[in-house]
Amino acid sequence: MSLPMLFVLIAGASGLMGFYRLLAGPTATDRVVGLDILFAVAIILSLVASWVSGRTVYLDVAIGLALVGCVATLSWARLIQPDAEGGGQGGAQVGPRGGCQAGSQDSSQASDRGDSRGDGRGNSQDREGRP
Amino acid sequence: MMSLLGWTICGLGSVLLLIAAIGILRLPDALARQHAATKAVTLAVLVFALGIGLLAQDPAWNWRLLALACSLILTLPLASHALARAAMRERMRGSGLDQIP
Repeated sequence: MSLPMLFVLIAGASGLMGFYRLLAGPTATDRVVGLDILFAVAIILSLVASWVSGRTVYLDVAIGLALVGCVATLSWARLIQPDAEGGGQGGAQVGPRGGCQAGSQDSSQASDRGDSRGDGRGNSQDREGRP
Repeated sequence: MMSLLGWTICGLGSVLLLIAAIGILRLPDALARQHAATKAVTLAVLVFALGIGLLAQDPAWNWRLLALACSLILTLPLASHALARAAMRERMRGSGLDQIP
């Protein structure tokens, strides 16, 4: 067994552990942590692929994965965090509320073609009223 | 000689990644898991990039690896800080404390 194959196997085992945490995490933060591990495994696998194939294109893929992984983790962390109780209109509340409003608007637009328009709006109010 | 050093550093990076994954699997709390994920994984990817750079010895590879390391160092603390704040809020949500960081 060659040495890059060993690195691929180790990274694959780490990816399996991260994927287990992504599936079975008790809180939403654990799932985002598992996603973070999967991004790191993908970066390391693309580094190994660049060395095995001898091309520098996979290094560009690794740079892109690093940047996209940061943005993905940041936006997921802003999306899943609970609201501050009784807080003002800080920047922290923009993330989850904006995300929920965008999703409910999309669903109401999708249900606008049908006849159950009030259902989507009531659902959005229910989702916003949750502390 | 430099090839042996590069392979050793790459092996160290992959062992660090495996340790981080075991920590994610075994640590008891969301905040502790986040701690294992962000810091150890950052170090693992940086060490692996250093090993590949020692193996390649080519400016086209080394500049790209340097760009990868700089983007990781610049962007991963932001993501880990946001994750830690989300985990902290999720832990303190049921405790009735109103000073949420």
